[in-house]
Amino acid sequence: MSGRAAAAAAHVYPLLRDTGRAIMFTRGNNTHSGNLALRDASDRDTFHITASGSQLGALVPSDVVPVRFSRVSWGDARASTESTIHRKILSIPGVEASIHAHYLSAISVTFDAKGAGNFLVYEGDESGTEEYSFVPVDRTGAWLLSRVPSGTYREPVGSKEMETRIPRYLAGSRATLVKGHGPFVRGASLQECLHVLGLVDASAALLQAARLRGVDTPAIARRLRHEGAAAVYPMPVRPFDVGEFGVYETRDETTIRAFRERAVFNFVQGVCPYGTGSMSEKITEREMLYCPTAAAPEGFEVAIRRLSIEPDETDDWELMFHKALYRDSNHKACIITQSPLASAEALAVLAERHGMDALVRPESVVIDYADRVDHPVVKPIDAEAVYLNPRVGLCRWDAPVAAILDMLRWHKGACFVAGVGVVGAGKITLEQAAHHVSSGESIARFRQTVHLTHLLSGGPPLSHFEPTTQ
Amino acid sequence: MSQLPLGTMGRLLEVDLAARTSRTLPLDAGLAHAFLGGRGLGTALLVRHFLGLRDRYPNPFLAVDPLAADNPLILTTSPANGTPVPTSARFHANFKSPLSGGIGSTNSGGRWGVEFKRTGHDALILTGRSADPVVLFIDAGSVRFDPPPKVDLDDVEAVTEGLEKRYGRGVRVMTVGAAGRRLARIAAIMNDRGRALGRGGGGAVFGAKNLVAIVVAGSVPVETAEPEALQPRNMAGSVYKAHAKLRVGKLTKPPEQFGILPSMGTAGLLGMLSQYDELIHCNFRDTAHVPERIERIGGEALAEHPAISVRRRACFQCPIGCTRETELHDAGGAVIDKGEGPEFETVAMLGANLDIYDLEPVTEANYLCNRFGLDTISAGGTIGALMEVYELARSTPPESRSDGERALMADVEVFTAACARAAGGAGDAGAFAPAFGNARALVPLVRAMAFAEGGLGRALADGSVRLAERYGHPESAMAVKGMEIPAYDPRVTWTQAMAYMTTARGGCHLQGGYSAPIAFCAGYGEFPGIKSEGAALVARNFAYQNTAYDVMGVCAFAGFSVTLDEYANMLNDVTGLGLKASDLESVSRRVLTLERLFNLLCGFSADRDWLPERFYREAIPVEEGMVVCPADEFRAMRAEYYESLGWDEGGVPRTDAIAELGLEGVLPAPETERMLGVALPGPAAARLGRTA
Repeated sequence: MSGRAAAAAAHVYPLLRDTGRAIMFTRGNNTHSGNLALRDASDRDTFHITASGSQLGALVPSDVVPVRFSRVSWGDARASTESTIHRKILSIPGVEASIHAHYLSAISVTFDAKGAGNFLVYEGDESGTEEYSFVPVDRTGAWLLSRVPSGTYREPVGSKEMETRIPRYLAGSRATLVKGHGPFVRGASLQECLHVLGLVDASAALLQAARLRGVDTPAIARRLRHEGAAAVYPMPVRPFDVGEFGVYETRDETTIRAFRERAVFNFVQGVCPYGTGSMSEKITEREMLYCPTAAAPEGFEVAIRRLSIEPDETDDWELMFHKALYRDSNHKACIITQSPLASAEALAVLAERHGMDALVRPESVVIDYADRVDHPVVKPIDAEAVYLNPRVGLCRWDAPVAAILDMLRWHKGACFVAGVGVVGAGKITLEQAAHHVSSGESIARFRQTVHLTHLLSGGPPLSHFEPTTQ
Repeated sequence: MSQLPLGTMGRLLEVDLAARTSRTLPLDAGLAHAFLGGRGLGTALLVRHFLGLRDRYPNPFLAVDPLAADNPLILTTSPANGTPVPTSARFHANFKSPLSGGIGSTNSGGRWGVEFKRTGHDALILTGRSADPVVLFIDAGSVRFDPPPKVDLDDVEAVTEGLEKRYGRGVRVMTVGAAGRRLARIAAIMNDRGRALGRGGGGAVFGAKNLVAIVVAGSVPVETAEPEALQPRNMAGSVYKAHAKLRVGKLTKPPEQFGILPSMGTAGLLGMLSQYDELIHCNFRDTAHVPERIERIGGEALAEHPAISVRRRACFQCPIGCTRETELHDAGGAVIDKGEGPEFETVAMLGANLDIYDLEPVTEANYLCNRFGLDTISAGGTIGALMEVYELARSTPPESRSDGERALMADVEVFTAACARAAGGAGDAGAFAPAFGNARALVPLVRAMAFAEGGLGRALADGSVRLAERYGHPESAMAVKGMEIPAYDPRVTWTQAMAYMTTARGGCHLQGGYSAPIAFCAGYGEFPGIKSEGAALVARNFAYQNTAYDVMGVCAFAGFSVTLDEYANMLNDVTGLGLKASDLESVSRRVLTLERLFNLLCGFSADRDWLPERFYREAIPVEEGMVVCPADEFRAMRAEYYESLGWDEGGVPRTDAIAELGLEGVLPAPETERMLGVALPGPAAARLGRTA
């Protein structure tokens, strides 16, 4: 059933449909949860929002409803129960879109309490309701999110209390978490909102995985909270800019298709939030094709820039790395992903090997990467990964580029970079690089499962399964 | 079962208007457990009353004329009435309907029901006919038969005002206006001024008893099982949770949060229904409206109309507050008239349905319906039928007109001439022609209908079926079982169509399940809008839900936010029972089956569970293409619906279903069979055992 309302939403429907489907594929909603909202570009008194109970993963045109800012209208009857919250979020200057979703990790980290502090930093009480901050401990989250206000609500679904507090939080932050319910995010576009949602969930997944592996993440979080991202991660992260997407500086359709497909695979497999990470292929001795995201949902644009491999002072860390890789190695393709589980596992292995100070006060613990035999590695325990690569290189985030390049040379093009993600490199195709980043998450997942089973149920320790071969 | 549920008052009040006597009877605990209250209890008491007439009629259900003294008027309350349960103001009326000839069953809010219950009674059974116009006054200690006030008895406002002056402002008044007093078959019973027991012609039953008003003044508190749990501030209690859900439900949340019903009243649903191609137009010819026109009569327009001022009001214990008290002003700002509404159905039936997109005449017509006691749905449906028949007759050369068409044109001529005279001779009589889009005709038509003035007024007062037959075009009546269907086009929403077809009282969007707006408000993508498979079961489940609301005495609108399980929890805190939602559904099935038996005994058959032929034959354009109700599929859906309730393919309840529901004690099967003259069907053959 659609009717005239469907026609009214025709110009915004495809983007909402694709965004909703993207969230479904990354398990950000159950069948009927969440909502998407977008200001109308031409009618500033109107925004479009998904209807109550509509399936965000399979939106039909009539699921998109126009709602007025200035007054109640028929759309309020069909719109999501949380439309009043979105109405206020979208009234924040510069905000054009907002999304609420139910990403599992983003919700899971809110199950924390004042006295526990495993995942959240307690900030105080507001009128008897506790306020916390979720502080991402990974480089991408620390730079792009900084801290995410996380509120406890008496009525955590569609309430007046949420309508008051959530827009206030979002006036100063790109995201906020509702305890036990999920994130609300805002942005200048739906694409940016999807990007922020991915960041929040990936950082939450990383934090949770690292904490469950025994990493003192609260200590890292406290330092980040008080000293800022640069104190721990000196390399800034390139901010998301949807405007740079849709540019393809190659006429080879197969190349464009290959990058787009890889981006979709990475997105769906959850190795990387949309708009983060990077991919490249060296195409001549002096040039590479560079994609400034390693992940994008189906239907979303990416970008392919033709760039010199010579360094430029404006290059961010990832671009600098891609260029260095092509100047100083034989690799021909590279993907860098945020890979939350792999990144968390890297933190855990480094903490086990060098002590927690190596993470909390990295400046006080020097890690030697130069020894070809005795350097940090992550040991896969699953047969497929062991068959591919029985040792994966491991670096801390502050490792010199040369050290990461060594890891790629020594470990078939794979390196976990603690707090950053996974670097995968290939000497023939992008697929080779993709294989490394793809298997990184499963390597970490299996190790985490064994660790927890060992702790909770007396199962064999990790060492029982780790390969002894090189 | 011997203990009465708490929340009940334990007493029924029976009043014989002919003898001017009254007596109290104990509430039968078995009935209270089996039917709880409201529509359930009312149906059971109605059946029991008719069974009591068997010494005078072989089949009293069939024989008793709805307007005769033997037809009782039964008003029932529910255990939740008068407690802190949100929206627990709804009470019920049952009678044999003068409109359908089957069960009359209608529901109202406001405060009358609660006030009556606080006189210490669960139900009022009115029998007989008073020799003179009479006012019935009931308080906790007495029942009095008083003379009518010396005011215009045709005017609900005047009667209410007069009786409030006589008995004090705290009393609650129920009355009928001109329509009920003239036995209009679409007359409503009005309570609390603008609230209506609207459907099925209860106003005519009331008027036929020479009853002017029932005034109630309560003082008896309602005892509940768990008063603490019912405190709205008790965060662990059932009522707190319901309020919390109502506060966040998008239709019910406060106006400052853009809740539709609190912000705009029910008229706020109009735009949405039109956007989704459901809103009727020109007597169900199509659902095509120009959006700008709809904006002139919807809830948004009502809220901002320069000539109409609006105040929000609420029924007892209702945090939603969808009621609109309005005043209509002239250009100078002076108040022309005032009253409640208009509501969604009123705006739809008297506006969009008639191709009238002007709130002022619609509001004025609505005031008249309230003032003179007309059901606005039936009023709009009947005027819609008139306008269609008029257009057919007008487009036919005079020499080719049928007898009915000639009668219509003659009646119209008298009507329009009278209108022109009333207007001081200004303008020609044609300006008042009952044609689609002619807003000038609307108010005079409603007045003529209410007072049954002239041939046209009398025809209007008796509803669309009788009107269309009288004027030679029975196909123009958009009614089921004689009762006009509401403003959702059945071709676009087949589950709602099933409710129209199968509801015992006739074309109704509530009692058989209010599914039409659910597809949009609750937003199920797979909702069977125009899909037959499974639609019958969806309709059945909605019928269970809405029947449960009627039994509990709560408002269907709350059901947009509060689930049946949550209402069951509140009802348990009232009654001390341990009911689950599924138990309420069982009660609903019992009520639906007893209503069915009542209608069968009144001579109904499956043929009455059928939409007007238009819906099977005339496709209308919507976004997806042309839609129509495929007759074969609808027959199959109807059969599925019957089967799901334990009825046979003819819609007759099977003996095992009757026994399972415990209905033998209310309406013994042998008695039913004797009155029907046929045996009730036995258990259905097991599906697996069936062979061709």
